[in-house]
Amino acid sequence: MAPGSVNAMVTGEGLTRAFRGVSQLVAKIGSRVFFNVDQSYAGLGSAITNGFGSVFGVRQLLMAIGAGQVNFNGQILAGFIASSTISFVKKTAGIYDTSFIFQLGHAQPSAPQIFAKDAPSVGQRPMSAAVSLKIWRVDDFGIVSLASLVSNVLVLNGQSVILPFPALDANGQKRWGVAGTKLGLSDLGNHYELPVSIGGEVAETDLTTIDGHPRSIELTWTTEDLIGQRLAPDKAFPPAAGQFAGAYSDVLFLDADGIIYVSLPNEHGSFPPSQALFANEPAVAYVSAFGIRLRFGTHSLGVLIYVGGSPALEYQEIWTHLGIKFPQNVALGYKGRVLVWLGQPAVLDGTALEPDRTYATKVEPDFAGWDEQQTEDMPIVPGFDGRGQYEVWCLGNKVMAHYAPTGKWCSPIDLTGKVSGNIVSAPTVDRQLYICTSDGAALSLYEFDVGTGSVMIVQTSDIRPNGYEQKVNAILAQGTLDNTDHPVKLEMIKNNRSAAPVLIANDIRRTPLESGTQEFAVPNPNQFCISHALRLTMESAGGIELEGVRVDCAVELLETKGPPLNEVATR
Amino acid sequence: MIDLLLTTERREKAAEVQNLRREQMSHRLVKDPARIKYGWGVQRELTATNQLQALQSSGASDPEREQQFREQLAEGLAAQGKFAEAVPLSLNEDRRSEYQAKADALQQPGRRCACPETIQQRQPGNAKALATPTQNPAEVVWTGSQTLTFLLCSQCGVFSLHVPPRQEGEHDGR
Repeated sequence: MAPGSVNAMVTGEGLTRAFRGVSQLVAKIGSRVFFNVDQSYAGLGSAITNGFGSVFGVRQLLMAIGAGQVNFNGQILAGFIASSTISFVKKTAGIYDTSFIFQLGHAQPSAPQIFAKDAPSVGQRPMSAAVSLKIWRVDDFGIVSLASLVSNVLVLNGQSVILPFPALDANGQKRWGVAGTKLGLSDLGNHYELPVSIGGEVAETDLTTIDGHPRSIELTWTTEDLIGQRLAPDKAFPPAAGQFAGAYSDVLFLDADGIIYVSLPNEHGSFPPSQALFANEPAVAYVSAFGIRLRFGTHSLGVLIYVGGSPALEYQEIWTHLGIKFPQNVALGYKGRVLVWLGQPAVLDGTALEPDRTYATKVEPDFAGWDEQQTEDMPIVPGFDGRGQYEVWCLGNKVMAHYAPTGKWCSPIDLTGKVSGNIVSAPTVDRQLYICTSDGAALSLYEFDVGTGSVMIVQTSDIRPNGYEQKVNAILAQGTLDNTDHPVKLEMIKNNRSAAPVLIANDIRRTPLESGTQEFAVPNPNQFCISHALRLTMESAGGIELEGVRVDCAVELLETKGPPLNEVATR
Repeated sequence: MIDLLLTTERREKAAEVQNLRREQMSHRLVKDPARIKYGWGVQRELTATNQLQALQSSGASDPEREQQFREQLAEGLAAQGKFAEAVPLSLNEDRRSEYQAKADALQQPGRRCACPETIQQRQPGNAKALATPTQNPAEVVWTGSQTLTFLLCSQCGVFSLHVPPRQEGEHDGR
């Protein structure tokens, strides 16, 4: 297709069909950035407030960090605003419950004050040694706090220990963990978690008043009880403030201005500083692809790879001279390859570490000026329509689609008048591409290539048969129609005069009018010209089902006929 | 792509870069538990404040949720050593009394209870008693400019504040 074509989609069947339009999802809320999570999609941001950061799932928890309103499955999660700490909500009965929003991590509790009980209760084993204890916070999600400082030292003589607890925190804490020393080592030894069976983990319901001490339990243990037990948590540092985070195998990572903290395996609230990795600049976006995490900066690409060990992730720099400006500038495309705007459309397909920047060479003029035009409110947005297999690149109201299986580019798609505002994001949900637009007041979500059709213009390339003036005697045209409402117009562009095409016919449809495949009735043009091109205009209805087959407005054949090439035309 | 990345050469180079960066940038890492708690408290305060403002702007009346955010805000303030500000925000009696006790200790730094500094505890099978301190460090808090150590008396349960002299070059943590 030549410049001048609009809304014409290349297919794998040899047809060029009309873009089917867009269909607004009225009941769904859009977002500035989207994430595929929990078999659906989540987003950050609103029309007024930009969103950036990460939304990801860990078991039944939906976690978010960054900025902006958190949405899930096209609905606002009321009161859940992303911030620089990782916050999360829990799924209950299939719905994310926003009545309680937690922050990841717990504050270290104060050291307990312990007392001796002269007459140990039945079932307790009287102790005679110097002991001390530590406590820590535990919630239902397996997240713990750092263990407290050591309690006072108690020298016991055939006694048990009374351990009072402070109040639970306001961040979902449900229980307390308890650790003690081997008998006789008091504050000189390590503190080992007591087995749960003898009071190593204490629920609120276990607390009573003992010898006048409220909120207490009675404890005894032996040195043997501590054999094989873990140390009290000494690495459960709460997460730092950051901009991005994610789950990767059995760890979480948190990116804070280029310092990447890695959690302990299976301990999602524990981010010891010793496990930090260092990147060369802050991140702009993270993408999960090829089994690793790609980390795009303004001038760099790095990757996080799960390698196990301590820390469990490794950071490698791939390049330090290219990057992206906005988080929307990168997306996953055909077969999971990565589409990234690097001043031009580029692709990372996983077979090489350098991007393929020749991807859009053939349509370079259509992307002219895009880099300069993009802003935070009108970014360049790549996306993927899994149903039609189109990789799309969007700016404002213009969409450039690339039919991935054959590598051919469609004509530009013009969404002016079809969407409200500029395109700000384009998630793929269940293989369907959504387009999200913002007009400054509201975000609107649309299904891409699903609608009531468009006006397609197909312009052929210029033909210059033999360099001399020739007479075009006949035009063959064949295509399909999905309606009988709109005429099919045919024009000829003579000698490159696109602004003044010659009208061949306002309507080349045969009568009686019918949908489906047809040979068009084109009057003999009898036009003299040195070079010529054809321009066909069709208005589609978005496609129909005809005898069980999907039919769109499409062009199958456009051919001109004239005298033999060695003949010079005579008027 | 993983195959391209997991070559010995690339991994060694990556480790080398990390070691170099660690030397250059580790000063940006906060390693002290009290300072980490302070940073977490600052973010918790900000998050809870944003949540409160969002709830109030929405016009929805939800006193339970509002109180939940206030408790979280109090927790964030307490993590920064702002115990006096935390007291009025919390309706939980146990938390309030703990915040108040520490706020009282902050008001009178260095004040001690009347209990002795050490007590003698009889050791089983040993004629010699074990002298143990009564004032034990219970919590260390970084306020953004100072490290404060709260001591808890094992005899009367009163908090007191131990303030070490300010180190030369110590700077505001914000």
